[in-house]
Amino acid sequence: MRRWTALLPGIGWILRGRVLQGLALLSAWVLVLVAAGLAPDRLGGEDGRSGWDVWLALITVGVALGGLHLAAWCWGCSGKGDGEPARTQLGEIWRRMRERRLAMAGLWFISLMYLAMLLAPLLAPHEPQLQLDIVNNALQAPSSTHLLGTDRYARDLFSRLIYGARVSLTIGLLVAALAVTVGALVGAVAGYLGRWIDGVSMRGVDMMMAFPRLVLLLTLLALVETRSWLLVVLVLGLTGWMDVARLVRGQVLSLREQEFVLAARALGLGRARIILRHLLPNALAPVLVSATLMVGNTILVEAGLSFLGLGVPPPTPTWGTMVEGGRSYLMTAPWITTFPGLAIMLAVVSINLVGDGLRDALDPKSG
Amino acid sequence: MLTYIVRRLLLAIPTTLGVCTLLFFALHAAPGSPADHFINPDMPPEIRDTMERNLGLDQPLVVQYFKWLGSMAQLDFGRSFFQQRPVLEILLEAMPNTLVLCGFSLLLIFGLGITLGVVSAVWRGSVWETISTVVSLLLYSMPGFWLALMLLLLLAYKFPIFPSSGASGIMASNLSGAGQLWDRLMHLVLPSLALGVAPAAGVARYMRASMLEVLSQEYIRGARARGLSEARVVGRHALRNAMLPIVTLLGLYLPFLLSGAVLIETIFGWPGMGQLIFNAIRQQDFPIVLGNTVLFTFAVIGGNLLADVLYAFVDPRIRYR
Repeated sequence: MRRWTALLPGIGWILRGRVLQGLALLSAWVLVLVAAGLAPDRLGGEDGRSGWDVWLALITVGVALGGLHLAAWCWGCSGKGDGEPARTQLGEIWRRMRERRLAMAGLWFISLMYLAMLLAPLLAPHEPQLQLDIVNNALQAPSSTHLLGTDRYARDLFSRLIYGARVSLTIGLLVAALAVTVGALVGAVAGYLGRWIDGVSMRGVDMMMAFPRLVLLLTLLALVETRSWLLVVLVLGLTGWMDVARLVRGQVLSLREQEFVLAARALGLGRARIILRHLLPNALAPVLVSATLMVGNTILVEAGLSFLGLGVPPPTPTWGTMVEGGRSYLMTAPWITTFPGLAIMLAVVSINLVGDGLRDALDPKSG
Repeated sequence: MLTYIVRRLLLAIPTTLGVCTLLFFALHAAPGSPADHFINPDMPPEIRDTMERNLGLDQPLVVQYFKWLGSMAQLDFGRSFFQQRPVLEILLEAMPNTLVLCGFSLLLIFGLGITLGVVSAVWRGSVWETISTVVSLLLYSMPGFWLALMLLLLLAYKFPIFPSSGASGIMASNLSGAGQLWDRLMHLVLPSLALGVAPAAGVARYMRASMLEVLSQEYIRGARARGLSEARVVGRHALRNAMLPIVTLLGLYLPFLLSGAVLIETIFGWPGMGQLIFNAIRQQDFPIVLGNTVLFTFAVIGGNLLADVLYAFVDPRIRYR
C-alpha cells in the first residue's frame, strides 16, 4: 500500500478513512501538476512572462511535487505521530492540532492558496496587467475563456485574482510577523524589567490603542508620494503590535516569578539571554494564536485600505482594489466585485479556523 | 469607584494630547500643502503664498503647534480650511448622523450576536449549533465594505427595497412627520447592517462561551431539578446571567464601529464623521482631522472606561481602586 501512496499522494489517507486530509493532499498534488503541465506554454508564450517570477514558480513546482510525495510516503501509511507524546512544545501543539478536523481543513485550504500564489505565473491564463482587446473584451461575464470574466480594462479577473493573492496573503503574513516581533519584545522587556520601563512603555501602548487605527493609517500612508509594499507592511505592522505586547507582558509577569528564571539568574545569565531564551519561548503558545488571527485580520484591514485607494498602488492587482474597481459596475458587471470579496472571505475563514483550532489545542482544559 | 473614574478621565488627557501631537506633526509632514487643493498649478506662486499666510501655514511648525494647543485648551477647534466655517459647527452637524448609525448597529450587534450565541450554546451538538457557528464564522471573516456593496447590489439595485445612499431622501422635506421618520429608517437599514454584522459575529462567540459556562453551573441544575420548563431555565435563569459579561463589550465595540464607519459612510454617502474625516485627510484640512480625532479618541477612551465600569457594576467581585 505504501507504494501506491507514494505514487498518488493522499490515496493512503483516503484508504485509511481520513478522506478530508487525503483529498486535500490530492488536490494540492493536482494543482501542482496542472501548473507543471501549463509551464511550457507559459514560458514560451508571447505574453513574455519570464524572470525570477517564473523561476520561483518552477522551483515551487519541483519542491512541492517532491514534498507532497515525501509527505505521502512518510505519513500515508505509518500513522506515526498519532497518540504518542511529542518531544518539543511545537510538536505537541501539532499533535493536538491534527485531531481537529475543521482546523486542519482550514490549514490545508490556506496552504493551497499560498501554493497557488507562488505558482501564479504558471496558473494564471493571462498577464494580470495585460489589457486585452478593450473594445470587444471589457466587462465580459464569466465564460470558458475568462473563468471569472473581465474588468473595465478588459483584464482577465481570474489571473488578477491569483496575482492579487500575492499582495494580500504576503502582507498578512509579513505584518503579523513584524507586529508579533515588536509586540513580543516590548512586552517581554516591559514585563521583565518592570519599574519605569514598564510604566513608560505601557503608557505608550495605551496611547497607541486609543488612536483610531484607521485614522492613523490614513494619515501615515498619506505621508509619502509613492506607496510601496514595504511601506504598507511597515505601517500596518507598527500600528498593530499593541495587543501582543500586552499579552506577552502579562505572561512574562507571571513567568518571571517562577523558579527557572531564578535559576537562570543564579547562573549569571544576562537579561537579554533570559528574556530571549527563557521567557519568550514559554510565552509562545498564546502569541501563536494571536499571530494567526492577526494574519486574517490584517488581510481584512489591507483590503479596506486598498479599497479606499491607499494600499499597494495600481496597476498591481490586490483584492481590495479589485472590489473597488467593480464598484461603479455593480449593476452591469457584478462579478468584478463578487469574486475578490469571496476570495478575501475564504482566506480569512481558513485562517480563523486555524486560529480557533490552535486556541482549542493550546487550551489545557480541553485536553 | 468615583475616584477611579476621575483618575481614568484625568489620564485620558495626556493620552489624547499624545495622540493629537503625533497626528499634528504627521499631518504637517505630508508632502504638499492644503493651499494646493484650492488653486490650479498655473497660478503664480504669490497667490499660493498669500493663501498659506491666510491659513497660518507660513509660521514655523512649533509656533503653529502651540497656537493650536492654546486654542484647543479653550475648546476652540479652529476653522475649516475649505468650508470656511468653525470646525465645531461641522462636527456637530456630522455627529448625530454617526451616533444614530452606530446606535442602530449596536442594536443589531447585540440582537443578532446574542441570538446566534444562545442558539449555538443551547442546542449544542445539533444541526442548529453547526448552522449558527458557520454563519458567525462567515460573518466574522467578511470584509465590511464588500458586504456593503453586496447589500447595495441585492437590496438597492436588483430589488430596489432600500435607498442606496444618503441619510434621507431628496424629497424628504415634503413628507409628513411619520413619512420623514420612515424615510430615515429606510436609509439606515443597509449601512447599519454592513457596519454591524461582523462585530455581531464576535458577540456571538463571547455569548456562546458565556452561555456554556452558565449552563454548567449548579443553580441551573437546581432550576431543572425544581421541574422548571427548559424555556424558563434558559430564558430566565441562564440568559440573564450569561448576558452580564457581554454588556461590557458595548464599550469595546465603539472604537471598532468608528473605524468601520469611515469605510461604510464613504460607500453609502452617509454624512457622518467617518466620511468627514476621510475627506478631510485627503484635502489636508488639518483642523477638521484634528478636531475629529480628538472626539474619536475620547470615544475610544470613554468606551474602554465604560467597559471597565460596567464590568464592576455587573460583577460585584471586581473592585477598582
